[in-house]
Amino acid sequence: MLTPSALTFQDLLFRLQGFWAARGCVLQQPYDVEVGAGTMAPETFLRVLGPKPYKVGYAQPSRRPADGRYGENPNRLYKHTQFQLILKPPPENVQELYLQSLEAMGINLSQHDLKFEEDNWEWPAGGAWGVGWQVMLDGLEITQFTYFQQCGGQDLDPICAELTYGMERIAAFLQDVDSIYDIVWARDPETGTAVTYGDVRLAEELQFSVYNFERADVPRLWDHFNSYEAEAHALLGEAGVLFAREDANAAEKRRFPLLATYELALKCSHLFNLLDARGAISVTERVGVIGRIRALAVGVARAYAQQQEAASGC
Amino acid sequence: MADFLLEIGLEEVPARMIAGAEAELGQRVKDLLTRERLLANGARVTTYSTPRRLAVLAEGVLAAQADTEEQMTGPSWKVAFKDDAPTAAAQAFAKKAGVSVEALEKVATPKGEYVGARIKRQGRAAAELLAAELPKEALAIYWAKNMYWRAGKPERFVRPVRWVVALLDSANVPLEIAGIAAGNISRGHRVLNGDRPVVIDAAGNYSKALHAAKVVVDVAERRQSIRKALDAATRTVAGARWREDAALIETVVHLTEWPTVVLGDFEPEYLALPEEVLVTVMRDHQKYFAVEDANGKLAPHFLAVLNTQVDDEGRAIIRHGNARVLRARFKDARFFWDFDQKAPLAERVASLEHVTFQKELGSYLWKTEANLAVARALSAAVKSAGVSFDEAALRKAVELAKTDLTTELVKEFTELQGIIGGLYARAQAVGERAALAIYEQYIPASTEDNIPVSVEGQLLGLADRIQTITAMFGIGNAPTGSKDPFALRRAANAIVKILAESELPLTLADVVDASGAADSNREQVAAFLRERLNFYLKDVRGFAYDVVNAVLAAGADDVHDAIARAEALTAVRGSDDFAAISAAFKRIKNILRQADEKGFELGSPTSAKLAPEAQRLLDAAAALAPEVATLREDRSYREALALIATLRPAVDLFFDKVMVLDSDPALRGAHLGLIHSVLSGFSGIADFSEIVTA
Repeated sequence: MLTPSALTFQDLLFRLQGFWAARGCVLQQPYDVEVGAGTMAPETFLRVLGPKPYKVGYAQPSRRPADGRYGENPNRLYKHTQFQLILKPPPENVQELYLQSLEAMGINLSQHDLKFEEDNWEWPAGGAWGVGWQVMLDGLEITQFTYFQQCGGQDLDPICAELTYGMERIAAFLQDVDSIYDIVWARDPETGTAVTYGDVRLAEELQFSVYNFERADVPRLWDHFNSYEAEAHALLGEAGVLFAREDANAAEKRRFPLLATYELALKCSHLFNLLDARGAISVTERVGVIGRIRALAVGVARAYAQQQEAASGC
Repeated sequence: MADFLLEIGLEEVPARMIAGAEAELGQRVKDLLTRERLLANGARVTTYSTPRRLAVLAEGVLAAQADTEEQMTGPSWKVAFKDDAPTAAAQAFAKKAGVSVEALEKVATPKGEYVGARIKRQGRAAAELLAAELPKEALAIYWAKNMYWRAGKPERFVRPVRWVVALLDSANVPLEIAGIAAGNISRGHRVLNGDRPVVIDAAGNYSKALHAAKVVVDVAERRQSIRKALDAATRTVAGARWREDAALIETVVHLTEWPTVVLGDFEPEYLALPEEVLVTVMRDHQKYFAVEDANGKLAPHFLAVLNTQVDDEGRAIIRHGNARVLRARFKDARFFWDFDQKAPLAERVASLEHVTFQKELGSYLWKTEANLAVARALSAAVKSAGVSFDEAALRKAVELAKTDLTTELVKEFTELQGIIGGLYARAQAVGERAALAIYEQYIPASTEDNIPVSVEGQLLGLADRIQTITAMFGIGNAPTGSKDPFALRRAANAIVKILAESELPLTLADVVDASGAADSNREQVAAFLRERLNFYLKDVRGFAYDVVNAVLAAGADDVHDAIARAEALTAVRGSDDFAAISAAFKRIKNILRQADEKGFELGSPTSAKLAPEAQRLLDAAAALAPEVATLREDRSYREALALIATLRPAVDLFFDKVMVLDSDPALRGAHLGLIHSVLSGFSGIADFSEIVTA
């Protein structure tokens, strides 16, 4: 009934990347610092700020320590793959392009039921939100489609469209397997031998679940958190002074390491998730820690916008 | 006369917002056409909507406004014309009126002859007016959540506008909405019609043209077709019925342009999970309808409403895909259920310390302890009135009521809190009465909901809610205007409803007392409950507002009693005698107020020699009073009110013949004392002066 010749996990990614590359998108590599979602990678979080158009796609491994299930739950993962796409500004036919991208992955829309159901998105710690949909294919949420309205506490103009494809879900659905670990990741074209998602990632899910839930050293995590946070604040403080100085020259502003500052903020965000998975953050503390991360993310976003202005002014 | 069509093409609008927006757009178009005198007699305005469009069809639109003529009068003829030649005054007036001097006419008025000008205003064309005015109307539609999409952020709307159709019969109306120029090209179903343009050749052919493009634009038609399709799909299972769910029907109606239905199955083993969990997964998470067998028990099937039409192969694919998702969700739910049993509710009480109820107040452990105190006080009040219930079960229920917040199943299905707790309590043999009370603690969730069936559930519901209200008021979180972030009005509505519809012998004051409200906010909480009682009587029970005002003015503490009095008053208020009494009581109140303002003193009715008509009223009232009081005490309100109505002849005669505010202070004082005693003596059931008489 269902096509046994469904595409492998990596074929799906190739198709998706090929589709969007042919429509003028930059294909970036995934960001190499832990993030909870593709949105947090600088290619989204920072690039959506300011007026400059940008189109980018990347397959971002997204880590959510609390979601780990030791590789035992067939539907839940500590680290899943988001194919993240940013279209800034969104073209008028963005939805039609999106549907074509599904067809590029081998989904014959005339044999499926597709709905755009309201689902608004927000990331409070990033001062980011947007309105949009969860795209439902035969009752399965396959994509989060968001029109970003604000990021880093800043109103966006132009706004952008963010498409986040849940790759494991889409692959399990198209290959009709009940467990993510049974997804065929790659198939040797000569021998036909399949390598599954489990072959590639099961050990990682198991070991990181053990680490995240049992072994991560809470006092050290707090130390790391505090130390990254302190460094980020120090840099942000300098940035604030520099960007307020009218006599500072553009080159000096341009070379200020805000991208590195943002990485420090991302580190804090991931450490927070780890501490949370360890049950080390009480409900009362929670809001406060999110506020600390927000201060960093929003601070970087503000400085980044100033830096862009300074760079374009010279 | 023409048909006018407006279609605003959008990216998928949230289902919950469509009906309101469709109605609002229809009203705005109708108001605009009416305001601009463009709507012919007998014109008809019809609205349509799908997730991707809002449309209005107005049949009977005038091509242009009727021309109007207006007469303007200027200076006197003598001043304007000397020897038949226009003077400067005539020229100035002609210029002001916008006519030529030759067009000025002589107008005869009672004051003499004047210069007149007839000013013709040509009606504007409908197309021109609509082009100028309609875009503003369309963009003014209220949306619960808006977005920007165009650079420079020129407008906000629910989702981007992608096309606009505006036609007067077959002619384009040159308007522009959100940067999109209107034309006669619409779009059909995303997949079934694809990107083939849908030409609307005439406004009146709108729904037919869209139907051909696989879009049913009429909401009622989609609703009916979904119901029929659900019936048809269910008939394939012998004896089965789909479970009625009006809210879900509305959701899927607004999620589809071309609805069809597929019936799918799940493994019968999942029926071992509680029905509440299965139905929640199907309804809230997947928007599926549940299916029940001939005995009303859940059957292992589901119904999914699709927004497409497919062949048999596609059907099989879609059925399989939906079943796959549902199975995964059921599997999760079963995992959580089993996992949660490892720590019974009783062991979870302490961990409520880590679940915040309200930052300034404390955790759910704090809340549980506070609820226990309120429940104890309520129990005492109920017991002293001789109502029996299981006090130990109530205590157990209050103690465990919030523990399900720590379970995985409630974290996954937050809408099932309370229900899950009740099911777990039952599974863990906590005792049936306690389990039921926990299960029922959050109902009624709305004014249409039933109240808990068990006394313990009613008391738990009251204790939990009044504790929340009092505590929230205490930290300054009382609702203001339209802002009620903690849903305290809903909580108070539930309190009133439970008191009104249960047998509990509790008054509003009993409930406020039990809540341990501090003296400083006691009256505020009490007033808040009274205001909700007013709402309940009017909006839930449907009593007329003046009846409610009259009844509550005479006492708003005992909810059952207020209802009984409102019923009695509603029954008698239509009679002539009663209307006359109401009018008289209003008059009495006015007179007493005037007297008070003027500083007139009230005297004893017997302190002066009364006129026979006044004496008669005094005697009649005195004769009636004991009997009315007895009836009132027996709560025979209708009889009491009928008796009061018999005062009418005496009252009428009194006002007819007696000057109340007599110039003799002694007599005036006696009159005032008399009407005051009538007013106060007969206002115990209701303040009749509140009754609005024709």
